[in-house]
Amino acid sequence: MPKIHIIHESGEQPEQTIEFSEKDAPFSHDGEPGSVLDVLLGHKVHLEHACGGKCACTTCHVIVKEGEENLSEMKDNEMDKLDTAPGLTMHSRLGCQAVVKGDVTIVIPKFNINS
Amino acid sequence: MQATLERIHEWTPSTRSLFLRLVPGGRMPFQAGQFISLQLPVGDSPPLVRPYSLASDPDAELLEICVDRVPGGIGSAYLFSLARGAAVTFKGPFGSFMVDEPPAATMVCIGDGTGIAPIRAIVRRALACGARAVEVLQGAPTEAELLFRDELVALARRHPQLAWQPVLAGAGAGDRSELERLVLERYVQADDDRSRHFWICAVGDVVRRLREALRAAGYERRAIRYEQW
Repeated sequence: MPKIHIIHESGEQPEQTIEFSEKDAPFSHDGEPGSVLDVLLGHKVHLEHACGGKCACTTCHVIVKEGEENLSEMKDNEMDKLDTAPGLTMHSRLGCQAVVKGDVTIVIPKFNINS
Repeated sequence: MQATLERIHEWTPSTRSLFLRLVPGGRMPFQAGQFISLQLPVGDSPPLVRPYSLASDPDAELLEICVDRVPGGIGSAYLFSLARGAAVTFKGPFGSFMVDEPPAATMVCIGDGTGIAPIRAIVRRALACGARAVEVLQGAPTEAELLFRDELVALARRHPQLAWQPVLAGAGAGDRSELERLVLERYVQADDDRSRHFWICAVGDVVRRLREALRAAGYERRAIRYEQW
């Protein structure tokens, strides 16, 4: 079963790991089924998602520290939105679009609001 | 942010505009076309987050959002249950679907259903900023569902650089809606002009299909702005 290891850059919450079964997706109402956002919300871990997980903002921006190859490939709409994300890195993804297929470690940036 | 539902305008039995007044008053700075993120006290683990484009101008007294009743949708059911005076919590503004300065080229603004909400604000802003040519295609299932029709018709009368065309669902062709058919016919097949800039807002996959068709036809990626709800 895939695992998501979560690091909160703010340090306000301890690191945590979620283990889940892909076949149980969706876990919540928001984001692509089985995406980082969907899994986190379904396991009561907060990740901002101002647009409801519809790839219309960048508030669910996460930085992938390990296991990038275990996420679904990025599509044009995610690239278009990420272009506008504050703090963009080479390893940035939108939590609502990145579907988890294996173990990953993600960092939730301190400032992930694009207001 | 906190707001009070001050006014409800019923367009049809399943589509409403909700007008929100900020509490304790004042205005929220935003750009025409942006959205707010409603935090609704419903669902398995509230708040349920639901984004709504603002149809109102940034200097309007009230924030206006257009809400469709979605069959089985707990968020829209809750919003339809609200009466005047109800409290609404939201975050925002968000999003990059807007117009900074109107381009020198023609602006093509496509809004389907409640997708006309941010288009209405963007068109008004573009006209106020001296846009040279603005073409609006407004899709809806029926004539009764053409939100802001009277206003857009009046705007087009006052501003010769604005053309407004309603596109009712119709039969379409194959898997394509009438709106898609018209966009392809007019902006892909009719000529080789690829200088136009597009603003597209709708609910569902039609936005992706239109964007891909326009990109494939040679329009620049950054010349196609879109909001897909």
